[in-house]
Amino acid sequence: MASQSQAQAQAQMHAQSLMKLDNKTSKRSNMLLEQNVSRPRRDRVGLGAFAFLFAEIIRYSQNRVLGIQDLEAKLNEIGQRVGVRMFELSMWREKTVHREMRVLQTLVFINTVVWRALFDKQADSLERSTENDDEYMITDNEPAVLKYISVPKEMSSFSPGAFISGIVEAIARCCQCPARVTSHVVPADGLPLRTVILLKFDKEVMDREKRLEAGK
Amino acid sequence: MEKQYKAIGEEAWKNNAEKINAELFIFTYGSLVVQLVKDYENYSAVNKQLDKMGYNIGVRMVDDMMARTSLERCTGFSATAEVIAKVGFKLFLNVIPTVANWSADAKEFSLILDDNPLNDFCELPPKAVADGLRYSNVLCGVIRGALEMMQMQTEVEYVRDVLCGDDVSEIRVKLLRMLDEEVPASDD
Amino acid sequence: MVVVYTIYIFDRHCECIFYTEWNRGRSPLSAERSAAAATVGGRSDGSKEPANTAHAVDGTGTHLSGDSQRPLVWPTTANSTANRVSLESPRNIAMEEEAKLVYGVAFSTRNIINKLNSKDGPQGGNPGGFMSFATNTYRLHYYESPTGVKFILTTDIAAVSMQPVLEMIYRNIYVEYVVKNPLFNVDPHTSSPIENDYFRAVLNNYIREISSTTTVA
Repeated sequence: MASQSQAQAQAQMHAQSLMKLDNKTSKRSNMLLEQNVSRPRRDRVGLGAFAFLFAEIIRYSQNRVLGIQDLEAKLNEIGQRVGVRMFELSMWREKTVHREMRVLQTLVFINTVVWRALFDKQADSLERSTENDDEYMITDNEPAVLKYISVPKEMSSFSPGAFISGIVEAIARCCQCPARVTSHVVPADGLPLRTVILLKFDKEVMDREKRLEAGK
Repeated sequence: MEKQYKAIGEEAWKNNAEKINAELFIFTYGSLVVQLVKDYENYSAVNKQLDKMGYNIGVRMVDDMMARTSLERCTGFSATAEVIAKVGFKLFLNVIPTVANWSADAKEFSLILDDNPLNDFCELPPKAVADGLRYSNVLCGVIRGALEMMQMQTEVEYVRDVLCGDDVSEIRVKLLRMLDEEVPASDD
Repeated sequence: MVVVYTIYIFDRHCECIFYTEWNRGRSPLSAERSAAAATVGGRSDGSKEPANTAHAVDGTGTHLSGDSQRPLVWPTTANSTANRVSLESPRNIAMEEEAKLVYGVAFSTRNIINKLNSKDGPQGGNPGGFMSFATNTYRLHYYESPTGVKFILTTDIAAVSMQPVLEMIYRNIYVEYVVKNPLFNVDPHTSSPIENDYFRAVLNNYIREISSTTTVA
C-alpha cells in the first residue's frame, strides 16, 4: 500500500514537473510569437562563424556518404531546409510581392529578393539555356558562403554550391515551380569559385506556362 | 583589462571581420541540427556530435581570431575567460556573454548567454526538452577546441538552457590542466 | 630587395606540413626537379630555371592565373596528383631529415632564448621573442602563432626583419586558405601536409611580390 501511494505521489510530482516545464516552454513560445519578424532581429554574424560551420557540415556529410554525388545531395538537402525558411521570411517581409507562380517571376524573385536576403547582393546573371527551354541559370561570381573553399584535385567534380542549389530548389518549390536544381563550378579568370545554379523546371510547370501563355 | 578586451573585440568586429547575413547562418545551423536528429534518432548522441563538431570548429576558429586581433597567448585563466566572451563571441556571433560564477580556486567560470543567435526562431518539441537536447551544444565544443590550442584542457558543458525552460543559458567552463607543448620525437 | 630562399611550416605536432623553395641553389627537392625534367627530356643545360615540364603535367594551374612558374613543394601525400617525390625516394628521406634538423635548430634556439629571458615553460610559445639568426650566407627568421604553428623563412643576410612578412603569411594566407578550407586537414590530432592550390599560389605570388619591391614594411 505504502509503495503504491508513493508511486502515486511520484507520478503526481512527475506530472507537476512536466506541467512546470510546459509553462516554462510556453513562455518561450510566447516570446517567439511576440517577436517581430518583419525586420531581422539581428543583422550580421561573422563570416568566419558561417565558414567554419559550413566546413564542418561538409566534413560531417562527407563521412556519411560514398561519393561526390551523395555528398552534393546531402548538402542540397541541408540547403532546402534553409530555403523553406528564407522563403517564408522573404514573403512576409516583401509586402509588395505576392506569391509568384510564373517561371520568370519566380526566377527574378530568386535572383533579386532571395539573393539580397541571403547574400546582400543580387546574383550576377540570370540566363535561359540556349539548348533547353526548361533550363535556366543563375550565376554568382563569388558566392560568399563558398569563400575559402579550395577543392582538392581528387574530388574535382565536387560543387560545394550544392548547398545553394538546395536553397534555390526549396524556394522554387514554394513558388509552385518545382525544378531540379544543381550547381556547377565554372571558374572564370580571377573567379575560381564562380558558381552556376542550373534550374531544370518540371514538365508540368512548363506545360502550365504554355497554357498560361496561350490563355493571355 | 576588461575594457581593453572589449575594445579589441569591438575593433576586430568593426574593421577586421567579414560578415554574413545572420539569418542564413541561423537557419543553416538549424538545418544541421535537424539533420543530426534525423541521422542519430537519439538526442544525447546529437549533443555529443554537436560537441564534436564544435571542437573541430574551435581548433580552427582560434587561429582566425588570433589572425584578426593582435592578441597574444593569455597569461591567466581569467584573462582567457574575458577573451572568449569579449573577443571570441563578439567576433563570430556579435554578442557578448557575461563571465560569472567564478569558483574559489579560479579554475571554473560560467558564461551567461543573454543573447544567443543560434537560438533565434528555435523552439524545441517537448520530447527533445525531456530527453535533454542541448540545441546550441556546438558552442561547448568550440570553446573546448579553441582552448586546447592554447594549451588548456577543459571541460565545457551547458548547465542551464533557456530552450529547456531555464531562465538563462549558462555554459560552465572548467580548466582541467595545462597541456605541455609537443616536443620532436628523438631519433634514437 | 629581399632574396627569399625557403619557407618551412611546422604544425603543433612538430611535423613539417609545408616546404617550398625559391632561390635555393641545391636542395633535395631541386635535385628531384632536375631529375624529373631530365627524364622528360625537356632540360636545356645551364638554364637557371630547369624546365617547367614537370609542372605542366599536373595540370593544376588552369584557374590560377599568372602562376606558370610554380616552385616545388614538399611534402605531398600518396594520393595527391601533385606527388612528384615518392615516399621511398631518397630525396624524400633527405627532405625529411632536413626538416627535422631545421625544426630542431629553431626549437632549441627559441627555448634557449626563452630560458635566458626566464620565460620558459612547458607550454612553449615564444615569449622570449626569438626573431632571427644569421650566418654568413643566410638569415633564418622565426614566427610562431599563438596556437603554436611555426613559420621559418630563410633569406639573404640583408633582410633584417621579416616578422611582418611572416605575420602576414600566418594571418592572411595560412589562416585564410588552410585553416578555413573545409576540404583539407580533417583531424586536428594528426599532421597533414598542406596541399592546397590557392594557398600555394597566393604564397608564391606574395613572396614574388616582396622579392621584387625594394622595401619591406
